[in-house]
Amino acid sequence: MRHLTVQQLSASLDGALAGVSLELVVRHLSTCRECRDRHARLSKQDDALRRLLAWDPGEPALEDLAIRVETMVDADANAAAAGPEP
Amino acid sequence: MDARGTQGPWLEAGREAKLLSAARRGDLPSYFELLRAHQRPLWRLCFALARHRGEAELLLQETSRRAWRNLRALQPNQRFMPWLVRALRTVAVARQRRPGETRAAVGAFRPNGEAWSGGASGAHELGFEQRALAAFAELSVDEQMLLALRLFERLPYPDIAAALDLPLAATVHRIAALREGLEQTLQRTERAA
Repeated sequence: MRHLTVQQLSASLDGALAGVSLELVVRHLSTCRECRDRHARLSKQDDALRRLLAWDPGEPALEDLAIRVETMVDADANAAAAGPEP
Repeated sequence: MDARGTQGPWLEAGREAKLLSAARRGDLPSYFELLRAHQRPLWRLCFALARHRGEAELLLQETSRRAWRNLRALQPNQRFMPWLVRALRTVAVARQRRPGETRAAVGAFRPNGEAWSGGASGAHELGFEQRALAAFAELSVDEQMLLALRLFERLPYPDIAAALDLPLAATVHRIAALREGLEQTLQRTERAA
């Protein structure tokens, strides 16, 4: 039996399949344990990376960071406008 | 959000174009409004690249400053997020090359500062997470950004391609190849564990 390619599995994980391509993958996954296992492995690694790295420090921290960034950029803009020191 | 759409999630295109036009003429409030509209996705990218809160803040600060300094080079019809992504890439690669900038791929704590713990899933899942983090850390800056835009930002493929200035087909292919590479690394490190 021909198995699904990693491109098909990846697109399936991303919800990027439609029509005949989607039907083909869904049908194959329903009958092929090896591909279901591989799909599950890829999904598991995606989920692990999301848990670890898709982190938001919260609104107060981001607001504070935004203010710091604006202060720095403002200082940069003023420095550029003032030109080099004599 | 599935990967097929083409919507830009950050700012309505007309509003963004007006703000960019003003910012390119030196209007700081317009630039700050652009930054704030893109702050969360930029933060998530910075955190994925840095995997450390303090480093992520530094990346975000330097990226914002660099994007401002070079803003006049942005073409009138270009969108802001790809500009930020390009600035971030330059900053991230430069920081990687600095002496003393290396850090262990897996530290004593999770990237968000919390303690590693087995939780309900136990030591096996904890080991998997740590190996997944190590595998991600081995990727190049470009590869990390590609995966981050898909996995964490859940951007559609066309938006990822636009943000990274890549052809669409190459973007789709590389995301699949990166997943496969991570899969192989995780299988190899599991056997070695």
